[in-house]
Amino acid sequence: MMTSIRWVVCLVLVAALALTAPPAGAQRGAQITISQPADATTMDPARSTQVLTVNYFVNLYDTLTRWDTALKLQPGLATAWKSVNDTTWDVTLRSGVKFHDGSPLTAEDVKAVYERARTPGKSVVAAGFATIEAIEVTGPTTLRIVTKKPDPLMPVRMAQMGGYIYPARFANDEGAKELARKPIGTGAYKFVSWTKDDQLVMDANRDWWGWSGKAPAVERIVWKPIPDDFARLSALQRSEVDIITNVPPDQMKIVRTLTVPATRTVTFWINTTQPPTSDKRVRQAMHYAMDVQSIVKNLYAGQGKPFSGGLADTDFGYNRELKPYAYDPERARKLLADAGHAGGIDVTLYAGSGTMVNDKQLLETIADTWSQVGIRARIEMMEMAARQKMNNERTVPPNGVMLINPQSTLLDADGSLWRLFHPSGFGGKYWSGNQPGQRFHDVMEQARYTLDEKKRKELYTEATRIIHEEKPWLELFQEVVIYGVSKRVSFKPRADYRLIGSEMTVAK
Amino acid sequence: MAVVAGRAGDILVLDVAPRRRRVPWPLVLPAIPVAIAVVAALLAPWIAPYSPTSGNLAARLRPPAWADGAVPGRLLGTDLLGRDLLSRLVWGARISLLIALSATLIGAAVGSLIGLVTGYYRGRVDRVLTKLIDIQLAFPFVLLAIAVIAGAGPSIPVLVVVLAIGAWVGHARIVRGLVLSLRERDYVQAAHALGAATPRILFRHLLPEILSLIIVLATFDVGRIIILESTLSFLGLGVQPPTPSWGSDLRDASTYVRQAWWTATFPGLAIMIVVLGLNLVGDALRDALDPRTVKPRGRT
Repeated sequence: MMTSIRWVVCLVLVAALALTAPPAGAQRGAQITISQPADATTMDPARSTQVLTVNYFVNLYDTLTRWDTALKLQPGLATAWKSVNDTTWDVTLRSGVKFHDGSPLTAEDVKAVYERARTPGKSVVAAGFATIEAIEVTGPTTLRIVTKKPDPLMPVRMAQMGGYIYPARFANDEGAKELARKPIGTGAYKFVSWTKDDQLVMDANRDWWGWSGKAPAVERIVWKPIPDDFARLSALQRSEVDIITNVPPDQMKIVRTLTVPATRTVTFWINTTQPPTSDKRVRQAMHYAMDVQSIVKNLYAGQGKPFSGGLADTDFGYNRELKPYAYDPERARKLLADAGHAGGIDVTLYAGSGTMVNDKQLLETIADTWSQVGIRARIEMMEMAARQKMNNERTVPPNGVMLINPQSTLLDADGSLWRLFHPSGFGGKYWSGNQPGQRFHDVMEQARYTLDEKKRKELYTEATRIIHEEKPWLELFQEVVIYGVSKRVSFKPRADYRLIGSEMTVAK
Repeated sequence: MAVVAGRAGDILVLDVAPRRRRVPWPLVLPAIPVAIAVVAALLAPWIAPYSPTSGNLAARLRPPAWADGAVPGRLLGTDLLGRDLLSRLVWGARISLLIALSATLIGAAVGSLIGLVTGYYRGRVDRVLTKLIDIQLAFPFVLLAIAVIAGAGPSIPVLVVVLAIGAWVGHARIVRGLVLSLRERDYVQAAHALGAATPRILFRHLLPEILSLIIVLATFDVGRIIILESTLSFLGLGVQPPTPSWGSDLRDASTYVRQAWWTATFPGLAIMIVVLGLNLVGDALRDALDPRTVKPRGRT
């Protein structure tokens, strides 16, 4: 008797709940929830280039130029830009653009933001703006940018990280503190609220210039960081979130995924300043003794594209002629013997624990296959902070080989290969081929200041050939961006990792 | 014939038959898996069927021999890199036990010595050393480990020292507490009155009294340290790959539990059985060594 009464009560309760719950998807405009492994560290675009944080910036702020989903440069807040002479660019801003607080966008705002961005110490993006000599406001919506030397990449630099425009009144130490908590931009989404490490909410900015008359498909974006890979995957499976980033490749089968080859490569610094790795034959042997195909297939579920020549295929300057070295242990042994190391060599493999998926297994596999040709590799997994220190201070020891996965900042060889191998870059101390007087150095420097696109392309073709031959670093494969996505959301995944709400559509 | 058997602190017991040597099963049974692990550790190069560090990526995550899709000869299947899991377990025993036992030994020795001295002398020495203990207890262990290993570089000796640093405090605290009360006992006072030197009192009179407890505490520590080592390995502070250790293997496999249960299960079982065995051995040792817990067995 008691049980049957309980049953009835239960049924009534369930029915009541079902009736009161709003039918899913009935709200006007849709809300989507995006889950990345970490929360944004700041809302101040001058203070972070971290890929997860930049995903917030790209929705809140606009840049003067921007990359579309095919990574073609398009007008953003600037409608026109032209070079007056080799070192001078005239930029015209879009008129009638308003910040989220209602104030109009002027050339003064752009100048203030760029001045702050290029001041080392005030921003972490100064290197990307270092070619700028001066910025002059020539009218309410026009400005002139003068570069120190001819800079063919100026229009591209206007799209890069750190180029997000906010009102001039925030471009000082006091204002930046406020901006870091309550961002104001011109972007497609405006800031609503932020509970650190819990959630950040942004709503569609109906006045945004880029909607071009259409209503936003995504009305509200909720960002919910979930650090643990499994928790993030199951949140998607339970439909608690719509988009997750950083899906481990071998977990791809359990959710719906969208993928695209990334602007990021998996490589290792080699400190080649001392024998045996100072000999290029040894470095070539290291490549021939590595089965990258098998690594990609088995450790990364086929999500990766072996490459050679230093550039991902998304970079300007990519050389499709260069074929990655095939797995050839015989040839590796011969190269080692030719270099006078028939008895084998000793190197140390370093990696920060957590640099990428399966990082430790990657090192173990390389060490294992290397051992078969006589390359004895000791492995040192490092705590992440220690690894950052080693990378930032350029202190990889001689014959040390350290895992990195650098991203291209400009979609151009200048923002990847030359950013990294420039004498002042992260890899500047590990290889003498980057020094003035060396062919690679001269070619890269010349390309940096060449406005003629065809000529630049030729210079990069030569530079990639040098990298392919010299192998100053260990080149494995180009990464793949993998998103887990619920059935109701669709968008074209971008190779530059950006998640842009205005590019998404939601099924009703 | 009747034999009169007597034991300190026990009532006289009359046994009818000559006392047979009984097998102390509570001690022997749990000691068996521990012994197996020790033998595996010692004879790893001869026992392990394959190399623990060399594998075949194409044959990764293959199940144990009795399941479908197994690779012949790989009894417990293969791990994430296609290495023989059994061989990794055998070699892993060597590293895990070496680290856990030596760290425990150092931690217990240092901790007990400090506990003895502070408990016996009290006064200023005690105050200084207990403050030291308190400071360390207040300090997060992982942070301490990061600091030490960042300075000294990761290697097995450094790891042992770091883990010993994590272990000595417990011993010092408990031993100090015991000695504080024991030193007031009559026999200690008597030895003191008879002019026994302090080291003699410490090591001949006090130490034997608390030795059983130290041993028990140490057996518990071994298990704890095996787990702690896996935590450090996960942070890149512990055993460096490709050296196998149970803890780090368990950590690596944990993300693959859904696809390949055996990769995590066998290292986990190895840790569990050895730790459980050691704890039971510890219990049995305490029962055997501590005069206060004599079993009522044989009494009528």
